[in-house]
Amino acid sequence: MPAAHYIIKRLIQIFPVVIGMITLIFILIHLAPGDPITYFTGESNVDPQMIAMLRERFGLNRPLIEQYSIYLTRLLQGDLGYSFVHGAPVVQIVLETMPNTLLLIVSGYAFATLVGIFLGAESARKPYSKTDKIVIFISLIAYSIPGFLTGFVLIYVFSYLLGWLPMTGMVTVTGSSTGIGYVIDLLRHLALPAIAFGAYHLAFVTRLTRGSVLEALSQDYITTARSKGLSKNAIIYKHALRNALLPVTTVVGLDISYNVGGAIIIETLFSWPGVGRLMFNGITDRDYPLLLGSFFFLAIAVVLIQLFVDILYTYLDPRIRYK
Amino acid sequence: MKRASKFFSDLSGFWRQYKRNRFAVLCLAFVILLASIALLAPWVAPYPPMRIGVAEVFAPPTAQHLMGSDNLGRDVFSMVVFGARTSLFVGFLAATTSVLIGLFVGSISGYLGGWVDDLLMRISEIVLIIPRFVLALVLAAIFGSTALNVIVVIGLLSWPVIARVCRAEFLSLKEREYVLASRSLGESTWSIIFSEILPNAMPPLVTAGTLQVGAAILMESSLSFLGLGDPNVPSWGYIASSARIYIFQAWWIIAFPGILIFLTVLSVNFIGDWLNFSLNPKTRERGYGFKI
Repeated sequence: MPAAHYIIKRLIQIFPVVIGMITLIFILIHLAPGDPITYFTGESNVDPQMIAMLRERFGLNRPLIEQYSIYLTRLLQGDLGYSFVHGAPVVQIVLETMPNTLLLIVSGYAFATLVGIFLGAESARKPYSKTDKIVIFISLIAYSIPGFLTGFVLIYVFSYLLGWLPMTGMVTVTGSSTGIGYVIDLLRHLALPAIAFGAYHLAFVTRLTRGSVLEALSQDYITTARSKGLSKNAIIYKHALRNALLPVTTVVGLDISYNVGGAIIIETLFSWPGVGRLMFNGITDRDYPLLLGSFFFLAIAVVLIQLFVDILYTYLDPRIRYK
Repeated sequence: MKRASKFFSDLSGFWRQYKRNRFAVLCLAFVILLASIALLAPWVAPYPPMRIGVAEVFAPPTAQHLMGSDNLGRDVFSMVVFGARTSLFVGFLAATTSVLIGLFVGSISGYLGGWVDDLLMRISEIVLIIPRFVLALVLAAIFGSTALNVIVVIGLLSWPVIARVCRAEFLSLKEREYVLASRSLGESTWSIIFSEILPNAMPPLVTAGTLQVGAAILMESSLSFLGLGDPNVPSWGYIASSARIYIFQAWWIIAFPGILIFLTVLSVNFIGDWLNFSLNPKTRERGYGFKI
């Protein structure tokens, strides 16, 4: 099974990344100004007895290397610290909100990738035509616009002026609808933040698909397809796009590590109850364990999404599978 | 003397190429205008930027207050003028930091190869995979959000792209005859890297560096929007941040700085795009797809 072999190889490659991230968090805790305890408790009032207990528990009077092993052990036990602001373990708080963030990221990405591929392919159909220019111009705009402005314009136009979609939150608080009504309510809340989140990615995918399809269209097998008398649609969507999608897939995976940050802005703006908004609250509360815990989980999510994209890639490109 | 005249003839040749796209010229003009406004901010701004109560609270845009006022009665236009300073300064310096690190890592990696290359590329992969903005947020929250910290954080997290471009150039350039010639003449490794190869690797790096400026400005504005900018100097993201709460009372607080960020990043990105095109003979022959 060459594909399984490849996936195992990728899993092994991920290992140093995760270790690197864990070590980075440890270093951050110790580099932070002040005693690590004030760092853990933030600026909330914690009584001295509690501090002594924490000091004991984290072994802060021991050598650094020993502290590192204590830290690793705690991490393996699923202990990422305690948020005094929320009065709950960080892991529990983050895991509760993580599905909401994943919903936002995945739907925003799905929307942006699909529309981006379509726009890019249509743009490449007739390079330098009017459609092409409009598509390039829109993608250039979406590429340069700050996330909060996109979000603000969407809220202002579609919620405030037109009143078509709800402004903030994830579900209507008063309505206790279930089943299909709940799903529709959720989708109505999801639409704007997902579009705002996906805008940058949409621009990226569009540019990339356009270039990639144009490149593919100049290949010999396209000339063959054309001489067989295939329609332009069949050539673009069946022959060129399939090969053009390979580089797009790679970049979609790489891009996620950059884009995940956008989720924080979007969640804050739309009061979407996800990890991003949790982090924003963590900044104002100076709740450092929560901030680092959220960072850890988002980083892990990025690594896993990239792995998933990689696996997808092996199915799209037989050349990798049989290498 | 001869060198200087060559530089200017190169520059005029380059300008002839550059000005073929009117939109690119417009973008360059906009960036220069913005930089002049930033430089002359105290003379351009009608009010002290951070002074509270120079206007009514939430006054809409009028002739006196071109961009209205915010929740503390500060003049948004004056803040935006001074904000140009912070945003351009932070964006430019952060991009410079990342380009310098990237050049250093990329050239050593590409020229030396072997285990050094392996190690440096693994490190750059790790940095690349880390969610940049999320880590920048954590770092700014822990170490304090001064302008210097923001510059260092963005610079430290953005270099891998430059390193990769630089490495790729070095891989292809290091086998050229002129490099082999300098090596056989006994030139030192450092001298070969920095005075023989690097100048020839510049064109793609100029483009990548320009795009870094746009990305850095966006990142700074996003950090400031979440309240992690330098609280002592107004940046565009900082001005917009007060609109998080007053979003429907005063659209102008978020709209004007937002649009300026957008126009600046758009200009910088387009300049980078066009440089990529006009500095690269391969794409130059095919014709650029976008012209206004």
